[in-house]
Amino acid sequence: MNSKNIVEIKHLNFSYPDGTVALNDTSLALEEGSITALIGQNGCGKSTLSKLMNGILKPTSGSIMVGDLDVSAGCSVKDLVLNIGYVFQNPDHQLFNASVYDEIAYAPRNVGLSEEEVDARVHEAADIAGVSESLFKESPMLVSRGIRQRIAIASILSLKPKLIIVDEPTTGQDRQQSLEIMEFLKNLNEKTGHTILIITHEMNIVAQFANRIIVMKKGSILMNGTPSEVFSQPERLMEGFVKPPLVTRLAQTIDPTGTHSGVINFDELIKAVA
Amino acid sequence: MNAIEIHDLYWKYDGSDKPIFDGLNLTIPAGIFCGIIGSNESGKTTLVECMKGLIPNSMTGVYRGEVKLFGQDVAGEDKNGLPQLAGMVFSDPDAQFTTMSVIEEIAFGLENMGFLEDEIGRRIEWVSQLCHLEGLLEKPPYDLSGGQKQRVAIASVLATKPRAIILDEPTSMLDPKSKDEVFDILRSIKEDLHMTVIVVEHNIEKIAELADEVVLMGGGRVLRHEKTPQFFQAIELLQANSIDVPETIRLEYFLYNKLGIDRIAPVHFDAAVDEIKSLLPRLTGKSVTEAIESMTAGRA
Amino acid sequence: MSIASEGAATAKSGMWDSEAVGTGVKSRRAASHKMVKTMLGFIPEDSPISYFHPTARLISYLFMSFLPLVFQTPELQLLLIAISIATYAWAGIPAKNLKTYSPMMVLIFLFIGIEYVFFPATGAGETPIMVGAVALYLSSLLRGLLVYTRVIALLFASIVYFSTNRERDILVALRTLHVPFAVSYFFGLVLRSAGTFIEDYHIVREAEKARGLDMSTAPFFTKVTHFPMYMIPLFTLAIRRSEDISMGLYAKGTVLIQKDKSKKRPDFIRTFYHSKPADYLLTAAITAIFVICWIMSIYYGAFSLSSSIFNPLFGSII
Repeated sequence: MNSKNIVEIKHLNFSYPDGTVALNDTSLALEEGSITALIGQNGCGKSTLSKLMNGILKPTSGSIMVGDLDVSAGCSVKDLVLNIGYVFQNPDHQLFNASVYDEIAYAPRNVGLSEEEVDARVHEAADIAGVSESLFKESPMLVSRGIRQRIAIASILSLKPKLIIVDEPTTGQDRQQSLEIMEFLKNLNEKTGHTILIITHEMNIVAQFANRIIVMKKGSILMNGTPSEVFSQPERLMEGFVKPPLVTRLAQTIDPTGTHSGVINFDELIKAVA
Repeated sequence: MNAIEIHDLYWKYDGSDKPIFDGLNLTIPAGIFCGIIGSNESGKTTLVECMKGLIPNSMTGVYRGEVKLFGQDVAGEDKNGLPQLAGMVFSDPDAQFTTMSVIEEIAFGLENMGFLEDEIGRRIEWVSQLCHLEGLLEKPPYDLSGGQKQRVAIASVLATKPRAIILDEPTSMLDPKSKDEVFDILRSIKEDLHMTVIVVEHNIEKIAELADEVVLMGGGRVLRHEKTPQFFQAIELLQANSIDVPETIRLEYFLYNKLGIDRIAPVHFDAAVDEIKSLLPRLTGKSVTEAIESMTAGRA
Repeated sequence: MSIASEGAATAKSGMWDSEAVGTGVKSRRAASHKMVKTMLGFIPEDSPISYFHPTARLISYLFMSFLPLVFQTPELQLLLIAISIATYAWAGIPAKNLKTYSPMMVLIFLFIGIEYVFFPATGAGETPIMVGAVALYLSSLLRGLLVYTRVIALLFASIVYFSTNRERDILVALRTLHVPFAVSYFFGLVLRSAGTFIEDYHIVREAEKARGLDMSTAPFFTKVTHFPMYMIPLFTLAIRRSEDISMGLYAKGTVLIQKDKSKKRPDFIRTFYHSKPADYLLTAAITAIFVICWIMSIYYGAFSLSSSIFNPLFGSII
């Protein structure tokens, strides 16, 4: 494994029991400390890939290394969750306890940490995730969706995984809330160095926050690069049924030569014009 | 006749400390496409629930004022005919699909309204073509994508031939392809059926493309209500209310500002691009290509 | 449009063909090899069982479920089982699919076997056969055999019915029998919700695993005591969804109980189904068989365990 990569996936193949080929000779690497966006049309294999990475599914062939852990060879649930955290799209799917404290403590208790360690991790994770300690005794089911989402993230952070996979964190959120969640993930990445993989459809979010984009199509990697590199190839993106952000499309349309099409940020556009 | 007339609306949920609306007034003409935008908790969903009559008829709280749907008071004694006036589509495709196949789902609303079986069949045929559901009629809900389910929800409403269709964040749970499918149908409804369409949406780009008028909600109040091109003149107000103004419009007003131009910017993408192309050389003194080069020079 | 056409029908191509639904089997048998999803599996689109009206099928199922209670002999239960298997095969479903239910049958056998071996209901003065320390009472074993074959006959009747009928067929049958709309709609909603519930359950299981909980290696008792934990997120999701569902139903003008009873609620899907002489014949036949057997059993003591051909094999103990 390249020492700078936290995840290395080589020649991964996966087929469902009914014969559907979900992944076809997929190889990729995630750099340590990166924020990567995984995008593509529904059914392209994004969810399958993320579930293979966190051990929910076993590959037909190929290898997945997360840190020193060979996920593809089969390992214990404890080893998996201590290396890879997965935050599901709907927080209601992952809230099991009667109090916020118990919810955040749930995972560390499951892996057998001492109660002192659990308590320390709960406070630390809540602080990082922005969950106020005044909520510790509240039921996680009764708080707002935004707080439930933070509780879900905190409950994964309490395990201190190397890689955090976040599944569509901005679905159903307005712009302000979407930006808040993404700013939070970015700050988490900067403060703690967590590697983050975000599955998303929001191109504006991707352009603003990700330092790497992987585009999938029919079980294979179609494109893999920086936002600028990826969004500057609109025809290739359309093969994966992905549209670049509006600002990029704007630049691509108003420039008749089509050569300066890697614009991803409106403020930069304005600065250049001014 | 107006599609919606709201006068001095007051609404407070039971158990809540503060009212959602306190003296809200709003009029939406019939036959237009109206977008309702605003941040979460601004009152958009509650507003459309009032328009449809869900509030106060199926929720408890303190209700005062008047909401008229094509002249009929939604809170009045006579509720007959209210469902036929306006249909509603919600954001969760799964929660709206309560039967076991597309054809049963579309028939369900028509049966509720007492249409005879022959008429039901004719209407199903009509909406299945309109909403591109041919070939899906016998499919169960678990075999459909989110976009297909939302098309079924829209078809179920259209089949009753209401005078208005109200949609509450119909694309918030959908992937981009499904979002486009839904917006294409809304475009057909606007252009071919000339029905009143009221849509709560976060996708401002699409609202700018499709809407005739836009309403901005904030803190339970109507902060702005204008025809679409005029609406987007108030960029600062919109951004202060967490609205993601499309970059095309932002760039137009930025250029207008720099060039001292006072006019309403076109909001449709193609028209906006033409406008920008005509303005850039005036600002930079360069050709469009050179202007773009200078824009992106620092980014290489 | 045939009952069993999946995704194949457009409104123009046969929806209004009054011969199509439920009766189109003859004309379509040669053409189609498509499979249609039923409650418990798949059935060929042109299965002969689709020829019969859902009501005739439901009535047949109900009587096939009650007949095991009328018969007191294992051989008649075995006959009913054979009829069910034959019906299953005639419907066009591979008989090997029944293997799926083998674990259940073995479990039932063990449960009944343990009950009738270790908790026997014995006749007066009966001498047991000793197998090691275990006392086997022939009368109890014979009764156990009867109970086991009866349960399997009931099970197979249900397997056949739910493997050959879609949710819509059951709802149409209920509505044809004038079951109140609220009841049939509620039943349909339960069926619809079951799919969503199962989907949510799988996601919740994955989410638990993502939080370090590995139930696959846990002891059985832990699995049982842990099971209620799944209920918390599942009920939360159901409650949140139910609010949306109720608003959606209100928005569609749903009225579960009609105030004006003289106005019949239209039923579009029922127009796809037409009763034929064969349906009446089947219903009459199965009803007659049940009534005759019941009368013979109650008033003439027919089909008793003492007259069973298995009785001599157990030393004519009954």
